[in-house]
Amino acid sequence: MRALFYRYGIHAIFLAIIGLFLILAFDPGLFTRISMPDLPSVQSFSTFKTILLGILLETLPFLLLGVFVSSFMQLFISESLIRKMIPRNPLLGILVACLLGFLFPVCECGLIPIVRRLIAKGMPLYIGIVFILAGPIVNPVVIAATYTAFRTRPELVYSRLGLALLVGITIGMIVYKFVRYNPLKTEGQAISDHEQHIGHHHDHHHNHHHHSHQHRHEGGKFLAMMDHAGSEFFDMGKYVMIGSILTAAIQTFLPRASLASIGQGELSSHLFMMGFAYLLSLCSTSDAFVASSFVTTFSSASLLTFLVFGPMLDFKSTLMLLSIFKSRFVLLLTILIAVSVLAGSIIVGHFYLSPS
Amino acid sequence: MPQRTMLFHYLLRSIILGSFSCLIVRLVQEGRLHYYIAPRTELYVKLAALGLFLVAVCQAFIAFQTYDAKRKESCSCNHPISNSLWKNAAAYSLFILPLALGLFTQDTLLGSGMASLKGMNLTSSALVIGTDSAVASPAVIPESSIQPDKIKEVDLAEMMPVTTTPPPPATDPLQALFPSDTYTELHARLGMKWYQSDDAIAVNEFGFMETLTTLDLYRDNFIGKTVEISGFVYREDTMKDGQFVISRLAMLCCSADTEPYGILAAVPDGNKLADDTWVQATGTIGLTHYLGNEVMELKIDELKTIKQPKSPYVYPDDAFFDAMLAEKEKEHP
Repeated sequence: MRALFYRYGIHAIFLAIIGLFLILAFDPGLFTRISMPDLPSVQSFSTFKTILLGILLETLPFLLLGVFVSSFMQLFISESLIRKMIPRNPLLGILVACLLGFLFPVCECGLIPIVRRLIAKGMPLYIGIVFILAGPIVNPVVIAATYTAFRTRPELVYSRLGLALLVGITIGMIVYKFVRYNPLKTEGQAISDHEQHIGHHHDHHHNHHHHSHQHRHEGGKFLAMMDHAGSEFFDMGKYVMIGSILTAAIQTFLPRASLASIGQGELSSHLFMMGFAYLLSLCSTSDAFVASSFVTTFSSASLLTFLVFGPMLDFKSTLMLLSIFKSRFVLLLTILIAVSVLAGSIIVGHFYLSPS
Repeated sequence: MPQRTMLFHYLLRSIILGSFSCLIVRLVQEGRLHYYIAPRTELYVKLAALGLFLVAVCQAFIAFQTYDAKRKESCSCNHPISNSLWKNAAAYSLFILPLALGLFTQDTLLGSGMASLKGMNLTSSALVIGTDSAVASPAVIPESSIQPDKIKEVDLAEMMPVTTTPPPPATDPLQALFPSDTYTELHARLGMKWYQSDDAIAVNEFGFMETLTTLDLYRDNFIGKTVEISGFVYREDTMKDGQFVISRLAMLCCSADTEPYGILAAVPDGNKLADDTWVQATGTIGLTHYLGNEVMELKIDELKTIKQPKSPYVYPDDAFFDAMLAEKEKEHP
């Protein structure tokens, strides 16, 4: 590793120095411009920084909670227990999955590590998918936040819940019926190796310390959980970081009005709201507040699209999904979500939100 | 994987996690956490700092165990650490970049820059009035509004006249002036209280949005009323000479979801005020048209620049109505 580091490191330093000279040769005024930026760019930079840190500070607690729960399950909850807890009947299983959000009221950044662990521990895929889709909307924190933002329009709160459940159940059924391959990126084999390995680890521990340090076992498990939490934090966190950096950049450099002028027709307003929710990657606890500032320019039905599509799929969560699922499966999921949310909110919009 | 490499990973992770924890603690200590996070989420962020610190300490402990070669196995096989130096460097720098921004660059508050990105909300009553009937036929946007920031104010006057709220049985002339439905009942009660009182209406940090919404909802009744307000100066190119908006940013969870709310103001030498200047103003409510919408305009009587307040953001809070209406009952038992 060290030799590798030296070999690449020296190459890299040389390349960097040569590159710097090349750039300076072509553009000698570069540094004077960098050191004296004009005022607007300073403002953009600080706006970018403030938005980025805001997103990160808001996401960190949920990410950390998800990582802790996932690590806890990894070490303390057996596969057989999870298998026992999941109903045999797929329909019942999907219904239970819809309500799991009440058990783990976290947004998608916290949910994805948990679901990955649950699937690795033997939870059927379709239940995990329903949980990922419905969990960020059908949970008490988000319901309360949506109600606060749309106190004057409770029908939007109900239709958000209803549509999320409907889309979750539909996609869950489709996944149950049609997805036969293992969509997890790390093959099931790697995970079962891992389980064996954990077993080994404990045997090893036992043989060593059994006679003298019975209590060391618990300490070892706690440390193993923290070890695991650290790995998973960085594993999941890098996608959160990329997502937050890009989201902050989009929010800083793309004025909302320039986006809003794109979509004003019936269908295009829905499509715009989907794209907008995707790019913003807001947490499902605060997106209702942002949506409420659109009530004057967009129809309720397209706000519904925003409120349901965003928590199910956005930039940040796509990156996280790609880290645990094969890209083929993520693509399938994307298409299913987009089509069903679009169709659902247009129908709900016609028959419930503005019957005319 | 060689122990040396694992040692390096554990130490680096410990440092990064610890630094995130430090960043949060420093923001709390220096009282700047609210630059980024609304009070209602602060507790979670503080807990996260504790959690991050705990993981950081454990990672450092594991690093020392690895160094002592006591710990032969590690639990990271499920997410194997890449052997490529570049991949690792890229992954870790993703964490280091925001961390460096947080630790080494100045914390700034959002202001008119953010307001122009998001688009100013001058007609906050839209928040409580259903607009569906009008929006069902897509709004026609005048060409001028293709420019940034102007979309929101499109044809609001036509889209949502106050009369869309069903008129209640007008037994009381006062109640007839303040028509309300279930959603605007609190606004109406507060509006009636202000209508009967001769005192100036203060638009404070607490209840900023709620106050503006109430005023905007019944703006016809409040013409000539004195209002005291503070906020930062925000301008758009389409505003007339001396016109500007006295605005504040409303935050729900974090700095990414701030929305600007404000009231149009006019003062003869208003152009002298630079954007983002914090002002405290007293004026009387009038009506004007801005980009085709009827909006309130404050005719400024008295204006002074003030220092930026310690907590410049405002937070939507229904408790405001309870507080204001309870006060009313205290005055007239």
